[in-house]
Parts: sequence; C-alpha cells; structure tokens
Amino acid sequence: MDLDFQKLLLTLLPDLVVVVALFAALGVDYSRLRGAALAKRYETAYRISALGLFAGLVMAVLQACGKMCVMDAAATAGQLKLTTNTLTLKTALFALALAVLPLAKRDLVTTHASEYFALILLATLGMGFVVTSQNLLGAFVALELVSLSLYAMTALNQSRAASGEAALKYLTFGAVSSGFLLFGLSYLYGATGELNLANLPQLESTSLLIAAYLLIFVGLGFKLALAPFHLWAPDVYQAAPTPVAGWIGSGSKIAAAALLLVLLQPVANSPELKKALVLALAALAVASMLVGNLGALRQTNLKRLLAYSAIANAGYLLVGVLAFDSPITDKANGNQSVLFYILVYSIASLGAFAVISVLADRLGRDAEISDFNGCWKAIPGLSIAFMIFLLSMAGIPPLAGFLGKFYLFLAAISALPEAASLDQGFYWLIAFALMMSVVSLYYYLRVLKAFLVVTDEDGEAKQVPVGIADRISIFALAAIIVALGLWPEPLLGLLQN
Amino acid sequence: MITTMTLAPLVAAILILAMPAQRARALALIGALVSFALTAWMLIEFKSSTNDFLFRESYEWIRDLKVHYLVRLDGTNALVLFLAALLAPIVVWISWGHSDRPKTYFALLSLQFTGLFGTFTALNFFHWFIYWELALVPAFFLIKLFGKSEDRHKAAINFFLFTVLGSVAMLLGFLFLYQETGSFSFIDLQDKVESSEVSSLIFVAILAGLWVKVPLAPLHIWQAPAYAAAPTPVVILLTGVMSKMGVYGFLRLIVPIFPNQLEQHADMLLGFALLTILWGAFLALRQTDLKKLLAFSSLNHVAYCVLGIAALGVAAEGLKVDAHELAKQGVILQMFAHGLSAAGLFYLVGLLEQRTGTRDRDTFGGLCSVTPRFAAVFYILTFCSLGLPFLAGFAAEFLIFSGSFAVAPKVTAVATMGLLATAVFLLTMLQRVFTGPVKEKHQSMSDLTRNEILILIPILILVFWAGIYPKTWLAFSQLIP
Repeated sequence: MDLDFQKLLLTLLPDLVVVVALFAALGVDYSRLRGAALAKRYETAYRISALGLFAGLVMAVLQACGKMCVMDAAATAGQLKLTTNTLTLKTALFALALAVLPLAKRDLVTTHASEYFALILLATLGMGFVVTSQNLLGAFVALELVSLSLYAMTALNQSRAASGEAALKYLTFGAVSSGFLLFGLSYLYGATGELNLANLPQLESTSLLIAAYLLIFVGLGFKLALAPFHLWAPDVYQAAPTPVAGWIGSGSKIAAAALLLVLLQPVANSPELKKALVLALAALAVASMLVGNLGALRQTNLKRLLAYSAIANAGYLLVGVLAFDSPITDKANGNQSVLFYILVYSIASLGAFAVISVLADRLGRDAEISDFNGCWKAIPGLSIAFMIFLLSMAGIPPLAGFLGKFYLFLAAISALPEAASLDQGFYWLIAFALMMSVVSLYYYLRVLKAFLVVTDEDGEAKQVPVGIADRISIFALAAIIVALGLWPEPLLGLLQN
Repeated sequence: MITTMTLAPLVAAILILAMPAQRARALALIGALVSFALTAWMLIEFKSSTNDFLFRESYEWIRDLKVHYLVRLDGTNALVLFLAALLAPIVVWISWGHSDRPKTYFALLSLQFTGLFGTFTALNFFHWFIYWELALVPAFFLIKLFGKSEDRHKAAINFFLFTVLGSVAMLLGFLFLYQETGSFSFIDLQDKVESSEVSSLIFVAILAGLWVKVPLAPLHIWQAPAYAAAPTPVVILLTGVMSKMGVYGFLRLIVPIFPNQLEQHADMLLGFALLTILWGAFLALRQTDLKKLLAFSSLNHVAYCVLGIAALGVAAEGLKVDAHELAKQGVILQMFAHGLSAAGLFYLVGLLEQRTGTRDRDTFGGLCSVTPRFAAVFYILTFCSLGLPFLAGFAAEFLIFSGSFAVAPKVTAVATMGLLATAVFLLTMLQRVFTGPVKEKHQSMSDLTRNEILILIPILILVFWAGIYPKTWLAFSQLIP
C-alpha cells in the first residue's frame, strides 16, 4: 500500500514539532550551555520544550477542530485513528504536559537538565500515540515509550537513594507487566491474525482469547495501578520528583485507560467472552477500591496517600469500564463516562501534585500531612486550589469529580441488562463503590483539615515564592475542575465516539 | 428569582472568605436577609396570583444526562422555604456575638442556608442532590468545630455517617430509577414508575435516605447527641429546618412519584411512625438534659408528619371527609409549626444554659418569679408544642389526626397516647424549671433583653397567626394537586 507521505507529515506535524523541540532542548543544553549555571540550563530547556509543546498543542487543537489536514485510518494503513474523540484526548494530554513543565523547573533535582524535559516530552509523545493508535503493535510500542521515559524520570533524583530504589522497583514490575501485555496481544494476534484493531473479526469465547485478555488486564492493570498490581505505586509516587509523580498519576493513566477501552471494543459483540471478562474486571475493581481506600486511611505521607487514592480511583474507573459495550443511546454511555472520569481525575491529581510540588519540595524530605498545617494562613490561594482538587477527587458536588463519578456509576447501571432481574448485573458493585466513596471522604478531609483548619505557629515560614507559570497552571487546572463540574457538556460531546 | 434567593448566601459565603473577619457576620446577615426578603416577596406575589407556578425557572443543563435545571415555588415547598428563609437571618442574628473563628463559622452557616434553600426548591434530582449534600457538610463542621460539649466529635461523626449512608442509598435508588425511566426530573417521574419488584427496591432505597434524615426509629440514634453537642444557632437549623428536609422529601418524592409503593408499604410506615412517636415520648420522659429532652420531643413531633404521610397511602374511598387532603395540609402545617416552636424552645434553652451554665432540668426551680418574660415565652412555645388550641401546633396536629383517624383509626388512637406522654414530659419540664422554690444560685438570673425579645417576636407572632387563622398558610398547601 502506498502512503501519502506528504499528508502523513502534515498529520503528524503536532508530534514532529514536539520532537524538534525535544532535540533542540538537548542540543542547546549540550553545546551552548555547557558549563553554564544549572538554573540557567533548566530555564532554557524549559522554554524550548514549552514553546514546542505549545506549538504542538495549537496544531493538535486545529486538527481536532478539523481546521488542519488529518488522514483517516485507512490512509495510514490502519495505524492511526484520528477522530475528534482521540484527538481530544491527545490535546488534553499535551495541555496537561504543558502544566507539568513549569513545575519541573522549580526544583533542580538533577544535573541532567535537558534530559529531564526531553523525557517529559517523550512520555507525552508516547501517550499521544497510545490514544490515537489503531494497531496492536503500534499501541504497545507507544506505551513502552511512555513507560521507559517514566522509569528514567523516576530515577532522576540521584541524591536520594529512595528514588533509585523506587525506579528499580518500577522498572522490574513494569518490564514484567509489559511482557504480560505483549504476551496477551500476541495471543490476540494469534487467535485472529489481525493487528489492526478496526478489522478484528467477531471474537469467540475460546480459552485462548480469555487468556489473551486476562494477560492484557495484568499488563494494563499495572499501568493503571489496579490492585493487586499496585505495589509499585506508593513507592514511586513518594520517591519520584513530585512533577514526575504527578505526570505518572495523570497522563499515563489517561493513556492506559484509553487503550483498555480500545482493546475491549471487539469483545462487545461476543456475549460469551464478555461474560467471562466482566467478572475479572469486577474482581479487579473491588480489589482496587478496597486496597486503595483502606490503604489510604493510615497514610501520613501525603504523596503515598495520593498513590492509594489513585489505586482506589482506578477501581472506580473499572466500574465504568464494565459498561464498555453500552450502545450509544440517549442514556449514559460507558466509554464516554470512563474517558470523562479519567480526564477529570487526572486534572485534579496533577493539580494536587502541583500544589505539593510548590509547597513541599523546599522541605528537602518527604512531605508529611502535618507539614501542611496552617497553609491556609500563609497561602490562601493555593490552599483553596488544593481543596478544589481534593474535593473533586472525593467526588463532592458541584466539582467535576462528582459529575464524573455520577456519570460513571450511571453508565455502569445503564449498561446492565434490563434491570428486571436483580440477581444479574453488578448492583452490588455500584453499591460497594458508593460505600467506598464515603470511606474515602475520611482521608481527604484529614488532609484538608491540616491545610485549612489546624493552625501552626510558624505560619510565616510557609510563605513560598510561586512562579507566575506555576500560578497560572495551578489556577487553570482548578478553574477547569470547577467549570467542568458546572458545564460538562462540551467535553462530553467531544468524547463521544 | 428563586436561583438568586438560593445563591445569595453562597455569594455571601465567598465574600466572607475574601474579606476581613470583622465583616463576616454582617455579610452573612445581608445574604440571609436578601434571601428572606425575596422569599417573602415571592410568597406574597404567589398568593395573590392565579398562576400555580408563578415562579419557575427552567434551563437545559447537561443534555447527555438529561439533566435539566428546574426550580419552582409551589404548594409543597412554599411554607418550608418560608420557614427556612425566616430562620436564616434569625440564626445569624443569634450568633452575632460569635467570636471564635468568625470567618469559618459564618461562611459555613451561609453555605448551609444555600443548601437548605436549594433542597426545597430544586426539582431535578441532579442538583437537588447537590444541595441535599451541601446542607449536610457545613452542619457536620459546625458541630465538630464549634460544638460545646466533649463528645462533639463523636456526635458529628455519627451524624455525618448516618446521613451519608442514607444519601448513598438514595443516590443508588435514583440511579436505578433513571435506568428504569430515563429521567431525573421529579415532575417527569410522577407517572413513570410502575409497580414491580425493582420499583419497590428503589422505593426502599429512597425511603432509607429520608428515614435517616427525618429521623424515624430506629435510625434516630444520631439525633439527640448531635442536637446536644451543636451550638444553639446550629441546633435551631437542625431541628427547625433540616429535620423538615426529610419530611419534605417524603412529600416531594415518595407521595407523588411512588403512590403505588406507598400504598403497599403504608402499614409499615404507619407502624414505624407510631413507634417513633411513642419511643420519642418515652425517651423524653426519662430525660433531664433539657436539650436532649427537646431533641426527643422533636423526634416525636416530626413523626406526626410521617404519620400523616403514611395516611396518604391508605385508600380513603367512601369516607365522608377528604382524609388525604386533611392529612396533607396537616403535615405541611405541622412542619411549619414545629419548626417555629422547636427553634424558639432551643433558643430559650440555649439562653438558659448561657446564663446558668447548666441545662439539667432538675437543677432549676421557680424561674417564673425571677424571669417572668422568659417564662412567658417559654410557656407559650411549650404549649404550642403541646397542641393547645389557638396555637400553631394545635391546628396542625388536629388536621393530621382528623386525616389519619379517618383511614387508620386504631393507629391514630394509639398515637394520641403519644400526645398524652408529650403533655406529661413537657408539663413536668415547665413545672421543674419554672415553679416551686427559687434556687439560690439562680436568684440573680437576668430576664430576656430587648434584643432577645426582638428575635422571639416574629416566631411568637407566627405561632399565634398559624393557630388562630391557619387559612393564610393553608392556602399554599391547598395548591398541591
């Protein structure tokens, strides 16, 4: 098949711009800035990458609006699926990455200034390809690009032993899970003879396919930090540089969730196979909600607490994933609700990490919850933003997190067979998820209590310089959370497939 | 108009957080007064209009979820909304001297007002539920942060857990209802629910949420500790308005949306209402802590409302009186009457505690001669609570009983025993506190100040008004189809 390379170039222009920026950042750092002060190197690398990413973002937006040439899936030999839906996700990923960059330059954790930014860009590129890929192998390679960049970033802080240890843990677990994922994909390929996801035939319920999907669940369960594949998460969240932890907790989650949904699409037409898989998904969901929420209850370290909350949220997410095959009707739609939820969650999670990064990195040690006592007095603006992020994660109305959860559970209920028979379906699962949301309130409120209620004598010492870019990105994230809670329609419309 | 009225306290809350602490109380008062003025104006307009839905706002909101923003003033919510809007400025005024973390305190109070107003006006489950929860969260913090007693943390947590669990059940119920009917609008849902096994389960789930909120026995155990621990202004909100949320929920959700299920379960509901009436009275008989005594008295009085609602579920064909109409009007008037008298009584007990440092019934005596004005108001409100003719409580309870007696004579007959018990414990309270020899240490207790009388006057006027000429207020509840 002949590819129209000129058109392909235009289609991939957003990514190419980012790649150029990435090499430019590396090149400038290695040549002109050799021997320059670390702060200056960070600043330059930051500027170049932010500029490139911003240009890429603008082009991706143009593509999503249909203002710029985009190839359809057939023209790319079934490699890329660039629809409004996928392009929206890609745009969101680029935009979130743009919010990560200013945080990364706050704390000079490593002497590898330009590599730090290059890795963030690489991970972002990979995520963009994961969500737009339509090919089993393409998606896998893209996901590996994400993972490898994240492993490397976790280890960046060489002055901390814990950082290296966490990275090693992350790498070993991650490599094994990637193996599982690839194994699963190869089974899928073996059973169907097809790499293009759009062409997969109707699947039959064979043990081979069940095994394939279970292996895929293991692989993606690791990326999503689902219990029992979550063991890496608390350590990595705690030891990685805070912006990196934020990016692991948001961007990579969006990519993995989108991939999971895409991989599940072919199952929708095969009720037998679906029945077997849905049970596995439900079990993962219950385990994650349980481990995440109960684990978070006894954490005193803020980042670890967020890691457990991420595990719990991945559990809620799976409740919505159970509705992956719901037809697009006037009622709630499973895929749409999952994507909406993961986007909203990622925004809130990234926002929370951004605030922690601003407040805690100067401590030079792990941030305990009590380190944030009395922040309200010293930095009311950031405290309110943090409150918005946390309450959104807890699902308190009228923030976007509430709507996301509401929609997610609604989709899960709507997807069930006609509710006439109560012994069927996952009513208990939704009831369980709701109970767990109540439990989660406890630890979220505990953190907020430290921020807003508890007073601290050295309140003045908490005054921290907040850069203008950090300020803008944090407040933009908070504003989006509030806005999406009140007016979600535009985003929901874009996420409809 | 309704939206403005609902959101005025929210705006006040935001301003309170942004402005210096000295301004907090004034801002809260302004927010509450704006709401009150708008409500009063709407009620007057509404009464003189022939349009049953004069005030109604409706916008598309989230089309994908069929969430439609709909608020309106109608027969069901007019009186409770007025009650809430009336008590809001009063509560702020009572808290005027509050000096402990005033920004947090007044912001939470204002937030709670918005939650309450929103709950009473919203007609789509989606935003109704947001307000329903919004009314809960500030109450939790108000008890926990500003409560007086030692066990306030435990009381607050219990209160929160009970109500949240109820809310979770309710949320689940509505999600299923949406799956069944494809709608969240209370109006659309009215004739969409069929009688099936699933509808019964949904009914039970929603009932559970309301059960806790009212509360009905045996889910009332959070109530007395929470009332005893909360600061006086917050108790006034809890008993005056929040307990009405549950009853209002019955009138808004159960009665119109689940008529068949209500009919099926009417006996059960009658039974539990009766149980709560008697249990509440029994607990109050043994109680000497005045706040707890009043809490149990509240439990008992609000259960009359549920009795009336359960009566709506019993068929009333072939009767000479329109039992359902009587019961329905009685329920609404009882909410109003109890809201006023309980708010007033809790305020007075708060004052008593403030002046003497105790609220144990048996440590007082002979206060009639020391503080005659205080005693007079206390007597009037207690008699209102007892159901003395010409006071609001009488009109309301009379209507409820005449409605429920027609359809369920036996249960009603037993429930009137509750009235007797109420009389016993309330009169004992009056006797112990106000008559007999004056205790030495209370000789110098000061009487009501002008300010305090000013606060109580609107409540007293309404108590008499609703007792002597209830027609003014019943005109609203007559609009319910």
